[in-house]
Amino acid sequence: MRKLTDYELANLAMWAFDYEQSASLFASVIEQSSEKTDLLGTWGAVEGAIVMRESSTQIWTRIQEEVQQEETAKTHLKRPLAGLIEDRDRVKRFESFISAKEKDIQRNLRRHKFRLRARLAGDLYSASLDSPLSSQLTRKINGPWFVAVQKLVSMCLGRAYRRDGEVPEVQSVQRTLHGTGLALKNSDERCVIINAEGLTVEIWFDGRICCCAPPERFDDVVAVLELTTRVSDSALAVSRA
Amino acid sequence: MAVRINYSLSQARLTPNDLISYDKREKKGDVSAILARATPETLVAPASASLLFSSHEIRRAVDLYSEEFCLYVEDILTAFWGARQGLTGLGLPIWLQNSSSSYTNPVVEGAMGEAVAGFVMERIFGASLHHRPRGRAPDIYMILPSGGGATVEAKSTINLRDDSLEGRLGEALVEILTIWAHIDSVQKLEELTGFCIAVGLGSDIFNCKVLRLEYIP
Repeated sequence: MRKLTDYELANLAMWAFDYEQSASLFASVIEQSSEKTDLLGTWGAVEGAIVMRESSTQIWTRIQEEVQQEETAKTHLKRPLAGLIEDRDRVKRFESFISAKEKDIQRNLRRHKFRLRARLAGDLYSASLDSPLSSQLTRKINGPWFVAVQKLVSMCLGRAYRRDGEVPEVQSVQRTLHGTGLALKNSDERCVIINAEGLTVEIWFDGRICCCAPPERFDDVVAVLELTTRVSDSALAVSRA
Repeated sequence: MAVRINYSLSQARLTPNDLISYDKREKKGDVSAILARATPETLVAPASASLLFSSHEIRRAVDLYSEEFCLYVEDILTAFWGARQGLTGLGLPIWLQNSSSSYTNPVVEGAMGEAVAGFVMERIFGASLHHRPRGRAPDIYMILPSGGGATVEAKSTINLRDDSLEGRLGEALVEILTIWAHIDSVQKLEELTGFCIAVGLGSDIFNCKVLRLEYIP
């Protein structure tokens, strides 16, 4: 069994459309990276946290150009570990650099979002739409699992991951599949690909589960992802034992 | 379906002088000098070998590492090479339109190069994604098994000549030098490792050159 680090989990949450969770994980990454005076790590985590916060459903639906940011990176910045404290000038420059970059990111993000949303709000493109938008994202939490499926015009994408960051060994997944009735399509040390209900599902070494299908099979994708999460849980139990 | 990645690894050391002379805008000479003193990689072995890059790995790597959101990357590249090899079909009218370059490039060129870079970093150096910077260098920031940070810059081309790949490696090096010179006063560069990755995207073989940079204060 493997436990993902916060930065790995933050990226996984972002990939799986779990924006709120990803924002909170990136905030932890800011603390961990700043404690090591890892400038690029902190800079990236600040960017990740801001972008993920903006992507969350509640905030994304607002179209005002100026949205008050409840949190800033400063809240999460940590002073370096004991051995590095003597390097005070560098720490000051570090904090001021991050603070400046944070403002840049927020300004750019607001500008981009405003442009992107204002066009639709201004009815420039929506006039030609006869039907409601078909880009439908469904997200749900099943115990430790987060499952999301986005329906597009020609396909739907299903993604799932465990929010606690626990990942079974790939070999355990392979063993667990025997006797489940699920057909194994392909398997190596990084990925197990199965066929369930005629859909192809991938279970990856880093905990991501994904499925791509025609849009009319939207409901099947949700069901198949839930089935696969149970396989992964069984494999996790085997790994723990 | 799968693509084979033939890779060769090299390493070079950077000193404060390299960054100072770079700041003085002697960029081209500086980059050539660094490339000329690169030696075969000794951190991991072998220094040249090949990897299989299967379709599902391509999809995952594009999802994780490419800056642009794009679907069907592998299919577009296959159609492009089909057109160049005399087959007619998808995309051909677009690639026949006027262009200032000698031939037009498939739109997924950059995305596939970044995907290859991320995949190579995972498989060869055991690195994991920390974050994907947006609209700035480096292309990818990763964490190595030692816990150190890795700045990864990828440049790709569909021009398969050797000197073209070398040119791309130089461009990636320029990007790494630029970002390192930018953060030099704040970040201890000896805690970072730089990776310049040039990728030549063939029809079924990708050639990949990796230059690992170590900073010696």
